[in-house]
Amino acid sequence: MPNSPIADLSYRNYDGPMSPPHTRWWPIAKMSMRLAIKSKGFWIWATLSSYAYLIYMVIFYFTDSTGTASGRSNPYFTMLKWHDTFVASFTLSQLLLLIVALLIGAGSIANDNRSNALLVYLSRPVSKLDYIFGKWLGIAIPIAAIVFVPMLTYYGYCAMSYAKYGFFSQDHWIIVKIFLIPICAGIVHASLSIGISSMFNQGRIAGATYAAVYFIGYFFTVLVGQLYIGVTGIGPNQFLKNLFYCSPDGLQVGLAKVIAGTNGSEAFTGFTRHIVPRPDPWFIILLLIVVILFGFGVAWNRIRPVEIVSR
Amino acid sequence: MIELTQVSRWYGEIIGVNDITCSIKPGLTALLGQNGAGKSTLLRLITGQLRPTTGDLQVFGEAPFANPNVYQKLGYCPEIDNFYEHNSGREFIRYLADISGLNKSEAKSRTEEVMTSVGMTSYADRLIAGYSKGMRQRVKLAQAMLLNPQAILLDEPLNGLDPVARREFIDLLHDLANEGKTIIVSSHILYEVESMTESLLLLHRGRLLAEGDLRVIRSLIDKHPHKVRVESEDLRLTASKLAALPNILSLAINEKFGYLEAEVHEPDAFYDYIAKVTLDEGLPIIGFSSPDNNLEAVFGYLVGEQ
Amino acid sequence: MIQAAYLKSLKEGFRFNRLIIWVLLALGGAGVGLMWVDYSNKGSLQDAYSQVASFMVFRLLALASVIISSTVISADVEQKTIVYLLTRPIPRWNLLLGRYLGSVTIVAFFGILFAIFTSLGVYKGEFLHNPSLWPTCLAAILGAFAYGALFVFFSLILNKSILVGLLFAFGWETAIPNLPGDSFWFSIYTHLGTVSRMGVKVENAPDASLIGATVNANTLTLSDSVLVLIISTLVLVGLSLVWFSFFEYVPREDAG
Repeated sequence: MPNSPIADLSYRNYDGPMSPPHTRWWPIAKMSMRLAIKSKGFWIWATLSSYAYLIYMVIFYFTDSTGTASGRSNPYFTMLKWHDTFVASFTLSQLLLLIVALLIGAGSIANDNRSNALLVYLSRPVSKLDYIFGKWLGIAIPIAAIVFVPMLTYYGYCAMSYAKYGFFSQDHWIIVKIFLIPICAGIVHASLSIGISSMFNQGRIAGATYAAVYFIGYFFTVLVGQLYIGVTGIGPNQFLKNLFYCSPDGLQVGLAKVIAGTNGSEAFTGFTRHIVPRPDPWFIILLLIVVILFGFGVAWNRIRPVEIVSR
Repeated sequence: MIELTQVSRWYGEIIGVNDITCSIKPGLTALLGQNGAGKSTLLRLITGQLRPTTGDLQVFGEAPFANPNVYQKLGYCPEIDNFYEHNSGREFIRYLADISGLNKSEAKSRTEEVMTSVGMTSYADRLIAGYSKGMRQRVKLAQAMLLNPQAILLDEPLNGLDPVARREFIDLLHDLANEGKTIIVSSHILYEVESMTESLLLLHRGRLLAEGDLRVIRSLIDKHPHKVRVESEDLRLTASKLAALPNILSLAINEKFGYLEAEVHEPDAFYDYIAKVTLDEGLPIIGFSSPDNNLEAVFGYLVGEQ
Repeated sequence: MIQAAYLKSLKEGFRFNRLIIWVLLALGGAGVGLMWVDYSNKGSLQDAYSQVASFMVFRLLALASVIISSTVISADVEQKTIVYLLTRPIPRWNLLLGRYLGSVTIVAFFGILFAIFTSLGVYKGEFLHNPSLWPTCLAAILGAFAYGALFVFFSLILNKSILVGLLFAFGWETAIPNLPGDSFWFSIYTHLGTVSRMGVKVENAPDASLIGATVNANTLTLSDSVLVLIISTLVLVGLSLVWFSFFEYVPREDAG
């Protein structure tokens, strides 16, 4: 209305800088990560998850000292497979990684659901894919970092101290593998977290569901493992071998074994008697793809700005 | 009925309410204050969700914390907007009636009665998740009325309501107050409180600033003389006549908008005088009003002095 | 009043979308039992049932208890509906007791379901003739009470009670029974195992298994275990009732 005494001050074009469309997931990921690192529990459980590496370092230190003091190398090191120690430590950290995933991931979308923050996000020029990918990345990166940092520290310690025991000569590619294994852990937890979290509007219930899925899968695969290793008298079976890795932690451990190129061994002892060999690579990669598709698919389907109530 | 004697409540090092002494009688009382004044804390103390750190609090002669005897006679309509969203309104009220100790037939009949009295019968079977804000507020009030309590406390009950719903809600509260119940309504929206009641409890930073009738409180604020705005066709003539009055403190003429503003002591005497002088001397007065004889002004004066 | 809280708790717990998941898990137990017997060529059906039930009944029972019993009050605190309950004219302990008993009933029901379906998988048509079935069901009931009391107590005094409950159910309950000495006394899982083996002679002891918490043999008798479970339940329930009666619950309006 050009003759109105009241000036129309309501619309102003924004002339400032704008991020290009392809990075709109990054602020969402950054926000998720900031929230995660603010939590004291995150740091406590993240630190605790590296306990196995610490135990290995202590064992190696005293074992080496004993051997050196007597003038001969300790035979423990001659039978040790270094990449198995990475896999074993990674395996032992699974429960604590789950705790971290529950802390930072389980409520990520569920809490947005409850507080109607989805409405705020999706009313911005942010696509659903930006939102989902941003949330996914905001979980994957911290989890990968929690796995990577102790692994790298352990690598550095062993590289400096135990090269003479074949740390490099056994496997020249360990340094590459310790970048890939954490990424797999991050991908698995992030995919499951966003899928399950998007199904609920309370973080607590989403967390409980994720924990239930984890532990039920864990029980199931332990039983399968018992069957495989011959508790019941039947020997190795290809179907059971692959089935053993069909759980959230089994998937991560299976990927770690395939990447490391090892069947693994018992932690700290190195025995291989009761170990299920690594799965077929095609199987474990297919399983990983299924998990990623599950997470993104469910989240895509469930996320909407308005809750539809029917009765 | 509700007696507070030097009641204070700390949250760690932060004081929620500070040395409050007051007595709340039947009728509609507004609990007024800015955000963070301590209104919700006070309501939680009275409804027995919190214990006072110091002081004595008696509701119907008993300490209210976790006291079933008190809850028999007290209903609480909280500020939170949370329910069991997957239940219908009827199911929600019925569940609360059941756990309140009513037998099956009483619970059923009482549920229907309160749903009817808040006007929710048509929507009773819809899921709460699908209710509008006004419906949710009514359900909250319905659950507070379940046991036909003698006192009902409402924490910001008009939040989010549209003007029509607000009017209906206020009328409902008046009806309850007229039945002899003690109704305490907390709010920080002054004009809505003004439309509800003149009986106030005014809190600021945890302290009780004033208690009682709005007009009485205003008249006691001597430090801030009353302002009276007089509209007249001849401002200077009117001003010269009014200046003779001994309780006029100042006069200001605003020719642009056609009124003069007087600051007066004892406004009642002034109103009598202005009526007399208008009739006797034929002053061309169009009208007069008091811009600061309202809750906003009272609140501003009291809070500003703190 | 206790009855109303109890019945409502049951109604919530047995909602179809919650019930179906546990029923599917019970069917999974049957599947696992079937698979175990099919892939096994040593040990009796009794041994197979013992092995499978140690996971599919008692571990799942602990998991169900963490998920269900931890939320008897914490769900309302988190979603801020606790204020409606605390301002009812009932003693607070009535409310907690009713909900606790409701959660115990639900968990015990699921435990018995797991036991029956696992027996179905192992024994197939003869599942009712499984000599361990009824002791396992009894153990499931006692376990529901004991785990429920513990997790309700956790939920009242701790913030992230579900995490703590999970760590207890799968960390403590795995590690403690396998420690040397008499530490198995502090494991509910071990006591449940003792009850479930009541009157049953297991011919082939299961292989040593950290997960089955059977590395170390224990010297518990049936009466020891039942007594420990009952006493621990009563003590924890008592503490919970007292705590809930005196604690102030005031959710913050600005909390998510």
